[in-house]
Amino acid sequence: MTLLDWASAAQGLGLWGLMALPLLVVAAAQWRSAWPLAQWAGALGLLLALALWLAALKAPLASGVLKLGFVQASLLVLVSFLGWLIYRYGASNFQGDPDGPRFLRGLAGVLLAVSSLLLADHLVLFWAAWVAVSISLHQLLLFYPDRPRARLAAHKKFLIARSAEGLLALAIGLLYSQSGSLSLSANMALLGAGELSWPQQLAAVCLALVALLKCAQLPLHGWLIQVVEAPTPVSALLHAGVINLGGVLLLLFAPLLSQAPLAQWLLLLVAAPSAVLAALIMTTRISQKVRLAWSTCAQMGLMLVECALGLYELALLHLIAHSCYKARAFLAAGSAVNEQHLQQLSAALGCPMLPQLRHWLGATALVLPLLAAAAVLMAQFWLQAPGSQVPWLLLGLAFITWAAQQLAQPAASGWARVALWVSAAASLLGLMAVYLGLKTALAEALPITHGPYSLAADLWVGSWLVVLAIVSYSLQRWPLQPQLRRAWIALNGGLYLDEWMSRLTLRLWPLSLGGQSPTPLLLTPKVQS
Amino acid sequence: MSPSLAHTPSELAPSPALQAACEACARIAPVWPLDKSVAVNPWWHWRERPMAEVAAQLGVLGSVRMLMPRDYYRALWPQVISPLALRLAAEECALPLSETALLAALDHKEHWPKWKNLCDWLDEQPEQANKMPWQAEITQQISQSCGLYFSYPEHQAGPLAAPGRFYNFWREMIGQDAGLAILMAAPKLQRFFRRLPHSPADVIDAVYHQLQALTGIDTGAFSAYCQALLLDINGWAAVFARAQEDHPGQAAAGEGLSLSCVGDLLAARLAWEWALLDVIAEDPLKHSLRTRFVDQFSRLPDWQASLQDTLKPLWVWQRALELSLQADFARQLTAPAPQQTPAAPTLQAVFCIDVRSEPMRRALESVAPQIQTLGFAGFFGLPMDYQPYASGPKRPQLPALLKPSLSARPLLAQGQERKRLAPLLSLHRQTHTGQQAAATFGWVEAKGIFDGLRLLAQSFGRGHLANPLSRCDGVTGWQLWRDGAPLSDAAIAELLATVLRHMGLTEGFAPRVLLVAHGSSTANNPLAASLDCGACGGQSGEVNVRVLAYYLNRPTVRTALAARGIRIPDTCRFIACLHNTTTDDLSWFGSEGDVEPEAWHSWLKLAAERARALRAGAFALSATSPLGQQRAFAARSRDWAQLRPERGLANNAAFIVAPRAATVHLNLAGRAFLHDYDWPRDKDFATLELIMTAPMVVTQWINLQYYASTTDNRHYGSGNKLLHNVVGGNLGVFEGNGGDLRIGLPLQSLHDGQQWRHQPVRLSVYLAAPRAAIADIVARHPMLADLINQDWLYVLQWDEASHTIARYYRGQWLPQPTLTAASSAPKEAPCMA
Repeated sequence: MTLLDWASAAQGLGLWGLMALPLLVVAAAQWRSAWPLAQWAGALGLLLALALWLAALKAPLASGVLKLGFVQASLLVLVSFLGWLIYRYGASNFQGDPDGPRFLRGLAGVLLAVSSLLLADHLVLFWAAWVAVSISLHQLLLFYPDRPRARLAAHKKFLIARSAEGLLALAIGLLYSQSGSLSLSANMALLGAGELSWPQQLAAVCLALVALLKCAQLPLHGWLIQVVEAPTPVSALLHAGVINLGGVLLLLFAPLLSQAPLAQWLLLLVAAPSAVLAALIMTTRISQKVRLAWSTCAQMGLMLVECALGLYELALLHLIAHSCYKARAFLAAGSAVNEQHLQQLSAALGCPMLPQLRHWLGATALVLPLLAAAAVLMAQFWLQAPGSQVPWLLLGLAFITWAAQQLAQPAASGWARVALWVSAAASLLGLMAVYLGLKTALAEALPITHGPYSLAADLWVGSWLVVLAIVSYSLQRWPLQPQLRRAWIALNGGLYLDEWMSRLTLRLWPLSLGGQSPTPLLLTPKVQS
Repeated sequence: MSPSLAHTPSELAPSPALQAACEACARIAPVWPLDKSVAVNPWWHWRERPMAEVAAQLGVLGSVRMLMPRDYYRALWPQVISPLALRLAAEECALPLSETALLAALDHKEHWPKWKNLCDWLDEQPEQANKMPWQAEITQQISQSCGLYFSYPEHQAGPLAAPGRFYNFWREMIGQDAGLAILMAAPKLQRFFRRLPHSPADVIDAVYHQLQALTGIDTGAFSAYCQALLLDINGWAAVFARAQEDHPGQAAAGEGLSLSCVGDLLAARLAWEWALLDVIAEDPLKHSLRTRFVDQFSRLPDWQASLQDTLKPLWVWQRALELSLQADFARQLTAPAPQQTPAAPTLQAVFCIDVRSEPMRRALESVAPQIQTLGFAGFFGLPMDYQPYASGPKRPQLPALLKPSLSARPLLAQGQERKRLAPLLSLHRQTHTGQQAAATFGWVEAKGIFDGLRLLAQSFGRGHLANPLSRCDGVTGWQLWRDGAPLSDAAIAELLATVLRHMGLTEGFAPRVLLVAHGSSTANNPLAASLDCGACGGQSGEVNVRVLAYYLNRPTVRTALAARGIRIPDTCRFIACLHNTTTDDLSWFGSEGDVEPEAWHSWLKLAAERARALRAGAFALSATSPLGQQRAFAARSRDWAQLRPERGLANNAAFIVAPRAATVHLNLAGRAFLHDYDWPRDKDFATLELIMTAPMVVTQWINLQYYASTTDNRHYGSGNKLLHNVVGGNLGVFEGNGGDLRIGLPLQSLHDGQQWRHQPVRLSVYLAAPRAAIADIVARHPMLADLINQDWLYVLQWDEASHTIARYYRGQWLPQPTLTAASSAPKEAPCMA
């Protein structure tokens, strides 16, 4: 055999090995040392994924029906990383718990399905993996099947997931009818520069719908909020991993989407308001995990908007960054009490929750020139065509909010105040350098060409963001103003959007939701069952 | 029937309905926020009635369980519960049943009469099967309103605990809620709620009058109905009960009697029932439902009597379990103690009375014969709060029932405060930015990648957020304040003299006196405070011992103390120590530069090793070497996914008030609180009175909290920690998405996955003091008499000289029966699931 043969054999082994590892864990779940095994398998999986990622940087790897491009490889590294840490977390969480093996099996099952999805190039396999992810996750979401609210949420999710799968199958069928090929990469390569045919347009719309359903966009978001009825690591897995699949789908089918304005506008029309409303609703939550769930809903909306705007590299960056953020936030949800302490301490020491107007103005004066300079530099040296300005707006809002708090700190002297400004500027510069660096690197690595720039789309998203900023500030600034208070209460009610879905679900698929189980809980302790 | 009032409420005198409602509200025991979480006896306000009677009443009204399931007792028979104990228990409970009959009673299918609220009746209707259940939705709606009310005080225009305020907020919310009518398929619901009266008292009166028109109920039955409704939202009711303590004046203001803020919650819940009466009135088919609902009122007394009868055999079993345990303790306490040669100690260590101190004290005493240990309430008698930062918040460091009169502030090195705070506040700004609606998108996008690194670090036990108020590093000294002025040395000496007298440490000071506080160390644990020192208001007692040691070492204070008759030798030094109950480390704070290695340093290390070795078995640690065990426990305390970092006070069963010399040879298996007390030195029994009215009540609260969380985790426990979801930062936790707020201990604190780790028994208090003194103190404190005579607690007199134990019950001294046939010593965990 030549060196090349060896290399391709190793690649194949690596690809199939990645799928074999979770399978091993599933098989060994009942074994006494299953948890240590799972942790080692997770670590090995991460190493393997990293190696494949390095290899895939040059050219996509392939072995039979499997294929690993840059997007898939990056996501595989992310999933392996999270999978490994969740194995570790679960090992402690379920110490001595008779439910441990069941959890381990479910977790490894989801990881297996997600890996298969990322590796699959054959569209039938892709679809099967897609269904498998949903079904295996369903088991975990119903980890405590006797909890009525868990059942209601799982039923809702089940209905939505089945619709999404139907639409995905339809999209695949439509693409096949046009290209005659069932290979994902071949299908995308076949899309020429010309106009899409109507079945292709329809397929893109179907894919957009699938993404909207999977990413729990309003008004079909209820299940995502209500599934915090499962153990914490399941929530982390869902909110940092599986929920992203809508975005993954759009990234994989990007060549199609970037030529389908109808699908793009569908995404923009649903996801932009969805993101903004969910972000506002997030700030009216009372419990830690539900707040995080609404945050996911909002962030997913933004990711879809970025895809629709053709900002695929940003969507990928967002996906990765958000996964890290959300996984940590969920796993550390028990630290809420200490976070509250910090907030009280901060307020007592003269750093108000809401800075004053002059701090906001100061922050704007600090951030705007920085962003403008960066935008000019980027346009000069890197971008050729005009692109969307939405990322700058997002960055600006975040930086100004942070800087306003930074500048609102009490300072003992004039020099201390100068030091505050300097340190704020330095931190922002550093943060921006990392962000722009990553974004540029991803854009270079992604094999996707951007669609034409649409000013209307930019204006649509931009105005939603402006509304967001104004409403968010007003709610904090005038909490007692009657109209705003009404808005605040309505936001807390989730704008009463989910109730229809609950009622419909119960009608379509009746389930007994007896609020109190007839036998008191302690007769069959939950921990034991 | 519309909510427009048929009856104008009587403005002059409190109506009977209002009185009945207030009575129900007054039964609710408070719960403290998570960061100040202390154990509470959930039945504290029921104490003037016999426990069995309360069990029957709450059992009917809310299916509350105050006894373990039958299988539990059967599994303990006949090893732990001996036949003799069972017979004695049956005699004592006046239930003339044979052993076989009692055993058979464990197999009976019990008939449990259940009161049903109107929503429960509606939910039983067949057509309700495809709809949201009313009960769940009502709980959810009220619970969410409560959470929103307490989580965002800036959206409320006044103090939260003011009566009437919550009710009106709730009314505003539900009047606006367009979703309820859709969800429940009851289109007229919203209109009903919009027309609700503005005063909670009016709602109570209106519902009462409507029920009276239907069935002619009396106020007693109405009060029971109110209790049943409050049991539906038990967790939040406790939060309101705590909140009203901040506004005691307002509850008593106005004419005679007015509602507290628990009444607001009750009014909201009653308004829901009223709405359902309305729903029923519209549907003629459901009129029979209403009849059946109101029929319950007349049956209530019979049901309670019948349930009390049903439960009688179980109470015999419970009492038999306690008798068996008491016999074990009695055997240990009355056995002749081995001859001791009292040597002058070179090291004295004062520990908290906490049950976790007992194994540690044994371990320390086993290291060297010249070590003496003492037990004293863990706040060390300092009624203070702690203000770690000059303008920052204050934190109470004393039992929750007391109000702090002093404030402790650290003297920090120049710039220390800033150095400590800067990274914390910077972290907070970042978190806060990520949570702002407008900033969250860009911030997560730009900053989220760094969270990946933090995720990795935290997975390996690094970078966990600790309680920022608990840091004591870099402190050069302390200052106590009272009413905004620093305390003089004379005043401090006065305070310390009292502390030392109650501690029983006024002479015979060893060269080194360790003041050992305790605290836990856990990561990512919202219920961390429940593992800390209950006597310090759910905090680590570190600050208290540091302050105490600081002042006791000050020459000026010592001079002032000498003037009050307490002479501390110059060679004596007080040293503040901390017992980490999670890792069993004993650390000391070498303030004022004494770093010379001394013999006791190695003693503490050795004691820690021995204590860990004893505990390693219970946690199935594989490490056997001292270093391995130390590392394993340390890793456990830093593991953010660890749901059972330590056992806390599980399996507590007894409180022994006696000189340590009398118990020093005993292995009490971490089941006893130990308080040092030497009655001949307590002239007017003032110390005994203090112990019986303060630490004894605290231990009783702890004991019944563990008891209640074990027998009825649904009402008095916080369920499965895997599902915990922190509400309002520190209000409490939900189990999962929502439902009622959960109070009490999680299952993971009581159960290890295989078996119960807490054996629910009522506390047995052993007092080594004269009978007359005990009886006199009980006679002067009705609260104590209630606890003892209504079966909430056992008080036993332990006569060390004559080796006898007698129980004080309903004014009589009953000799404690000895069970000769049973097992020997109380085991580590003689309980089975």
